[in-house]
Amino acid sequence: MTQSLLHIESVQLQIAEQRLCDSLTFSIQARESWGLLGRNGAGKTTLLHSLLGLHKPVSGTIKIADQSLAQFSRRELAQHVGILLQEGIDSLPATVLETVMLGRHPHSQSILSESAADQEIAQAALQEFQLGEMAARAIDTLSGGERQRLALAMLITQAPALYLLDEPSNHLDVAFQTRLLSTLQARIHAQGAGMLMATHDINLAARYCDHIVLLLPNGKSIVGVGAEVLNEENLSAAYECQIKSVSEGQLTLFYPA
Amino acid sequence: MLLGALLMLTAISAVFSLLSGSVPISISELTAVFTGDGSPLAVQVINEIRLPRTLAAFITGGLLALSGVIMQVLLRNPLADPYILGISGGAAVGALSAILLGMGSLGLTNAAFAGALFSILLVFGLANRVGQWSVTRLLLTGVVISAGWGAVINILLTTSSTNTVQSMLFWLMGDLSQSEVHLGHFLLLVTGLICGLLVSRSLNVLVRGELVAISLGVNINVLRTGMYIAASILTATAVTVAGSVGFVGLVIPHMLRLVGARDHRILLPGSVLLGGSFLVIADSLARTLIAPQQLPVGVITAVIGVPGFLIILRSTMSK
Repeated sequence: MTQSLLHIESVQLQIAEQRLCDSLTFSIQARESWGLLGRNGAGKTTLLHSLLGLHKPVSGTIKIADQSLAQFSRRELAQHVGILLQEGIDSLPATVLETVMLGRHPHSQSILSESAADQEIAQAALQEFQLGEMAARAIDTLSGGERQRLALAMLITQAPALYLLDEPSNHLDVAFQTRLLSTLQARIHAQGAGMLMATHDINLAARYCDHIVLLLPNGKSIVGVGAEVLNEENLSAAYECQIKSVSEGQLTLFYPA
Repeated sequence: MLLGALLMLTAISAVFSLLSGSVPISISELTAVFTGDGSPLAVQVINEIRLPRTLAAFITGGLLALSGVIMQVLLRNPLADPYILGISGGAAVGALSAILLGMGSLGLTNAAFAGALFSILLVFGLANRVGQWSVTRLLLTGVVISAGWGAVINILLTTSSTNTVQSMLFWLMGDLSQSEVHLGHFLLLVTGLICGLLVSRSLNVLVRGELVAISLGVNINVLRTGMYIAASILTATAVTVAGSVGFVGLVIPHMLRLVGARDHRILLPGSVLLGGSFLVIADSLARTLIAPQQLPVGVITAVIGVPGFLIILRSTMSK
């Protein structure tokens, strides 16, 4: 049996008395892209944080690479799981290159200078997200979109086996959204990694995710292959608002009626 | 590069300090003392008075600056300094009580250290009751305890006789004239610096935010507990040597950050060197400016530190 990157079983989360994700079960295999959809407060971010051990589930088990989450040290976990945080990166005085190099932290901790290999990985990540010329720029001079690209570059520098993305399209214009997510997805596939992306953008998820976890307002969830989960009926139930769709060729677009 | 320049500054400040004082000693006499053929008077002045005092100033300055860097990262607050969590307040109450009771300098040192230790445990115990580390909780607890110590200090000052108040004020402002350091102090500074360097990469990550640090594999609870303990011991030691010398722990780390030393692998040793030499120079001025009278060194650190810091701040902002 192949090893799954993430396996969660009958997980129940709770935040301030409110129950979220009632007995949620799913597994992510290598090269799979999962989308996590649900209305505000449905528990998307809480679920992502619980996969990093930041939030303890009330019940159920979470396994990363077939090993219980509790058995990982912080550093081992960071070698397996990386996250693009919703809050992004603080705008402290620091350069782009310094920031992207932080992604190597789980892998090398020599107090002397960075290894040439780490430097190369960081430079390649900057190139990939078109930040190569900005390496020496101070991050407080970056625009919101550039900062988001920097955060993505830092994440691929970390090179985890499981990528968690919390609202990756924040601050990105439509052109960058598709370009960056394509780049990221190619990268994740080439590396044999997997991805779980929480987003508000149904169409983005429909386009980039082969599997979907749809969190419903009653705490239940619908899990499955993207094309099967994403339909007018399920989405209308999840967002408590009527969602319609139009199709053009291969592409189906969803919009609120 | 920067560290090289700071090493030079350290050497220059040491020479400056060894040359300043009431007995005039020239550079040639100073080299003569170190090569072993100085005049008996010069040998005595250098070896018994100026060298110990220079070392005391350097070690105290280094301890405070190192502790300042750690506190600023721990509390994620640029206004944090070694005294913000009430360590100096506890030490001051201990020291002032010792002065009030007429204890000798050994009693005073012990009382100050005991006061600092008590305050460290009190703040840590109160802030940690829930078992969960919260920086805001730690900061608030520390600031409130600090205010409490301030009240006790004022009571001690207002109820003491004029003679004792004079020496109390010197202690409170920071004063090196009674200071003694030995090998233990130096080893503590070196150990603190080495431990800091070992976690310097994690500190670089922690300053970017709690969640970022966790997601990059930093065990922040362990790291923060270590930082609190380390900064507390460094501060308590500095305070027992020299009283509460202000300004060094707050401003030295910021000066270095402003000139670009943000990587803790540079910032930690840089702070030790700059903090140390800054206090050496300040102390040289404190004992020569209105000689034969001595000023408390804590006054001088502010007098030269405030304009110095403002100049650096302005020149880096206009860039």
